[in-house]
Amino acid sequence: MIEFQDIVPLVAGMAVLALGAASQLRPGRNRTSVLFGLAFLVLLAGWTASVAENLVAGEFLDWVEHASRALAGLLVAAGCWCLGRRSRKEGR
Amino acid sequence: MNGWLTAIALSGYAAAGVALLTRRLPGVRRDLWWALLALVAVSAAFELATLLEKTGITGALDPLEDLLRVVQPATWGALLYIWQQVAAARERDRRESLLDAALEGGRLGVWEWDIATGHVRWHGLTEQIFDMASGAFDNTVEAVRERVHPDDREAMWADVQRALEQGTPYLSRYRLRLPGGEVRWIEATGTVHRDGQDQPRRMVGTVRDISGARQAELELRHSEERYRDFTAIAADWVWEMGPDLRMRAISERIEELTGIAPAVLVGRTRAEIGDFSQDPAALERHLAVLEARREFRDFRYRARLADGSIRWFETSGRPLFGEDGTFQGYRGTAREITAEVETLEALRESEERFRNLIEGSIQGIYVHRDFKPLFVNRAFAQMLGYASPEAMLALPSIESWIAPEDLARMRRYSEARHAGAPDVPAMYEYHAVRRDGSRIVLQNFVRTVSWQGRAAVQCAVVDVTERTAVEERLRGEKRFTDRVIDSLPGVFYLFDAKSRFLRWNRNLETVTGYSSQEIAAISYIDFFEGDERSYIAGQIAKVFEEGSATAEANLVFKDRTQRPYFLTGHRVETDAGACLVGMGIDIGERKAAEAALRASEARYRALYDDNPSTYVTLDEQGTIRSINRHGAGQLGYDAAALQGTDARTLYTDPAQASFERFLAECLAQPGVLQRWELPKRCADGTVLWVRETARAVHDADGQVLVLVVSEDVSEARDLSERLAYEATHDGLTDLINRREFENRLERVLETARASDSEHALCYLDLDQFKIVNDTCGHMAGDQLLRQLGNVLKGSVRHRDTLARLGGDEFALLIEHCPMSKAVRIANTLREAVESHRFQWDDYSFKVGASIGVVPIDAASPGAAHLLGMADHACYAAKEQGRNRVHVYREDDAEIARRSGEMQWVARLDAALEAGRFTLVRQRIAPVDGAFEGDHYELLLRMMEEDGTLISPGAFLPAAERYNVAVRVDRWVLDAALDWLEGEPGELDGLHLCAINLSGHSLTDEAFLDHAVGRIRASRVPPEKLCFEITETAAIVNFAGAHAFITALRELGCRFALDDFGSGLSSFGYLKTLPVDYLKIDGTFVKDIVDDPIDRAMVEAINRIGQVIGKKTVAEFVESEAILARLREIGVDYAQGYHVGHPEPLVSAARGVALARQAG
Repeated sequence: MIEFQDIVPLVAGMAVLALGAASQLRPGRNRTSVLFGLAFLVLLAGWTASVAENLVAGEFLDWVEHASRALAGLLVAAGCWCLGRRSRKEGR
Repeated sequence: MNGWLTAIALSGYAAAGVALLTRRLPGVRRDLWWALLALVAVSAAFELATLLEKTGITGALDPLEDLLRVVQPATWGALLYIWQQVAAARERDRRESLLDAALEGGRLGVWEWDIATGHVRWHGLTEQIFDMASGAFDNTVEAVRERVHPDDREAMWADVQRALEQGTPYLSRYRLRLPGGEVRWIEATGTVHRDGQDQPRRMVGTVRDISGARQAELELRHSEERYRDFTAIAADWVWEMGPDLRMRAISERIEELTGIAPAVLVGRTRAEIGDFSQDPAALERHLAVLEARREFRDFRYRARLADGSIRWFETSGRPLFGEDGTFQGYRGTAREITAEVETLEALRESEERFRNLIEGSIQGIYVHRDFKPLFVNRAFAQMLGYASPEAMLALPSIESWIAPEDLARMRRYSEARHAGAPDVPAMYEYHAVRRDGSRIVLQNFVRTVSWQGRAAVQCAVVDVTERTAVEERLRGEKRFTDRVIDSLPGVFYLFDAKSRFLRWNRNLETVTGYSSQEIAAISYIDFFEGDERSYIAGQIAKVFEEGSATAEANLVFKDRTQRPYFLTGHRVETDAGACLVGMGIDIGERKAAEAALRASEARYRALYDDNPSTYVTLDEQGTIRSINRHGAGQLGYDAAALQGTDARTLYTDPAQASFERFLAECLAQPGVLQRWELPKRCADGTVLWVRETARAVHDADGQVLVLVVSEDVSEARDLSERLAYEATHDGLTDLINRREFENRLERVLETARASDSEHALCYLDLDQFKIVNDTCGHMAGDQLLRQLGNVLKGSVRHRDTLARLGGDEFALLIEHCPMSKAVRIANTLREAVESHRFQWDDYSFKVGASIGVVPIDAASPGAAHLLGMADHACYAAKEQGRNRVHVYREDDAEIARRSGEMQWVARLDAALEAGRFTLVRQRIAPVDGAFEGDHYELLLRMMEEDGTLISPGAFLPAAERYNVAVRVDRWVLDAALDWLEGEPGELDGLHLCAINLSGHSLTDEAFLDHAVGRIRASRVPPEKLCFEITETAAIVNFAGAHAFITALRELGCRFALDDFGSGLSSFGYLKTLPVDYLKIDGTFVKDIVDDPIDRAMVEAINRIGQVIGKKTVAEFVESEAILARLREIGVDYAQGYHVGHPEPLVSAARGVALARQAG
């Protein structure tokens, strides 16, 4: 049973995923952007999996969801770390 | 497994959170940082909730988990949005950086013009290109236009308008003129942006500084133009030869230069073009060069053209090779040298002719190098006496014929010429020694020539021995001339038609202060200033036109001082053309003398013209030759107008005959002074009396001239006439006075004696007249007398003489009248008086008249006696009861004897007998205060028996009438002399002692004898005695008085005319009366301060006295004011109470008043 709170991130996630994918494909992106973009895409994938687990392959998709969320968390951490490095360079 | 994954996720978010919170992120936008932090927080919270759920805490966190599940994507969305913004901003920055780099690299500026507002924005180098930092510049399109060069402003704006209207891209090149004055070329491009209604909204474009490119473009264009010009004017044309050595192309220039069409030569070889028939080897050599593919230069050849003419060409070329090294042919230039070849040929022929000419020339020519002779022509060899040129060439050096004294100079010239010195003379003279030892003078024309490829000196020589001798002689003459010119007393000059000095003497330098260089640099006109410049220029022109002229002008020297000069100029012809030669003489002293003479003449003229006297010069005919201005003006004429007129016309008609007579006397006695007094007629008709002095003289031409000096005596004459009238008339009644009456009586007596005619004398005395005087005063009495005078005048015939004798006494002289008629007339008079009523105030008087009548006939006694008889008759009439007429009888005298006057005679006799006379003296002092010694007048006083002193006015009339006066005078003279003799001290200090004499004494010869004897016997010097006689006494007894005066003056005595002015008849007597002093009557003097008439009288008398040389004495000087006025007038002496009161004569010995017994 898909609930309302699942629909919102699913739709939003799909839309942002599409935009984000297009955005991530543009040349000249820096590393921080890539990390955050990937984190978002991974998270979107997790959300999608969490919505979809109610429909099919629930256990696997649940694992995918958690794995995605874990990866997203790591990517965000990496992104923040890179952002901090670049910020210090530019700030100087 | 999922729990571990959640924990990993949570750890990741925790690490991210730590990174965000603990690591400062200065380069991260704040909004991005917050979004990240929110994301991390939400995500961490979500993962924590999930983990807690997995750890068993369920249910409680579900709502939170659900919420976070929704919020987490939202935070991601926000993060990504912000991230996108950041990325976009970064991209924009990057693009702008790129744009800036592009603009910088392209040296471009960007501009944007908002058409609606007119505002302009810019970017890049626009600000720098427009130099917006300098001057006033705002962001308007007008400010941009202002920066555009004014010459390009309209074109630039037209480009803008065209872009706006047509929608075409904007492109414009124009100049900017920056505030600093720099001009800068720029290129502006732009596009127009339009709105929905297709209206232009803004314009965006670029601007680029193309000054450098523009400059390069201009230089390129100039280079092209230069190239074109060069090729257009170059004497060469360009040709190109193919690898087959045939002409492939020839520039069109060949046709312009030679007339040969390029097409004629294209495709032909060199051998086909040129004519090498005369020099085939040259063609062979050229072809060998071509075959060897070598460069050649200046290859000359000739060509025969189709028209048969021979032309010479010179060409140079270099081979062409392709990139692969293959031979492509030749390219080169060529030019026609026909003219050069022909010129060289002509030159060669000319040289040939020149050599022949030199060989055959009569002018000596030789060439040497370092004094070693290289060439000598025959003429020079002959000039120096050598047999042949070869003989001279055998000499080791040209020094062989140069005279020793000139050798050093010529060596110096040679060395200088070698060193290239510019000032080595090309022509000079030197002495040469001929082979036979004689010397000649050679003129040497030197030039450096090339001789056999090396420099040598060529000398062209002329024998100037004779000319030098002539020149030396001329120089000697010039030196002599110079010395003569320098010795001239003035300045000498010679200048050409432009006034430039060619020659001058040393005096001109000395006088003007200019050096010779300065004089050479200025013109003759420069020596003058002001109007004299044009005057001198005119005189110079006159000299050149007419041959000579003179001038007087001020020469201006170098120090700007001036001196007058007399300048001469004569035209002379010289080598320089027509010139002016002349001299200038300093005439400063002469000018000064002339000025002094003019001033002197002016002074004399002023003295002559303005002299108050009249000066006239007449010729023998009486024509006026000259008259001074004052004299002419006095008559009312102009001096010039009177010249040439007859002097007679200036006199009144009656006087012209007199003048004629005087003029004749003058001419008859040249040198003798003539005087006359005549009336002249003025221009306005008035008459002017003049006293004229004239003398005839001879002028420088021997002509007789009469010099006349005139003095206006009209005023003196009028005064004299008036005085004469007053002397003969009674001032109160205007009737004849006593003196005149006595004169007329004398004349009638003479007539009676001469013609035995009968006349009558009436003596009239008013009765009761004293009552009128006593009652109403003297003014009333005077008025009565005036009225009665008129009454009597109306009662007598015109020819009869009515006179007032004094007081209330009148007399009538009836001429040619029998006694009976005279008595009737006398009665008529008496009745007229009786019938006259005199009214005065409230009084009315009626007076009578007692008249005594005396017949006059040939037997009658003298006038005085007759008057006495008439007086006696009158007295008898009074005795008979008054107001009646009494004819004289013999016993009338007895009656009169009882009268007071007769009694005076007895008293006088008694006084003389008793010695009761005494003298007093009154001081006479010089008016100017000078001290001359004692000067006084002795006055007579009579003492009554009771000691009372009586003034002479009381007894002298009686004394004179009854001939006692002479005795009185004798007493006075004796008393005075005695006193002076007795007082030596007085006598020593005495300057002059005046003694009065009566008129009777003057005619008394006995008295004269007594006086002469007494004075001669006295120790008193006669010159200290002055006798005063009254004017009347002197004139009445003129002849006797003249003799008396003359006799005593011969002793040395002096005379004074007393009471002058009170009753004299004519000034004319004064001229002949030899008196020394004039005593002005006191009646004029006493009122001189207040009465202008009296003052005029005194002035006139004093003036007359001075004119005739008499000293004047004023009487009645009673105050200092009178004395001061007399001083102003110029009177010599003063006498009166102010000067001194009469004082008795005191004997020094006795100290008592003198009283002398009459002897």
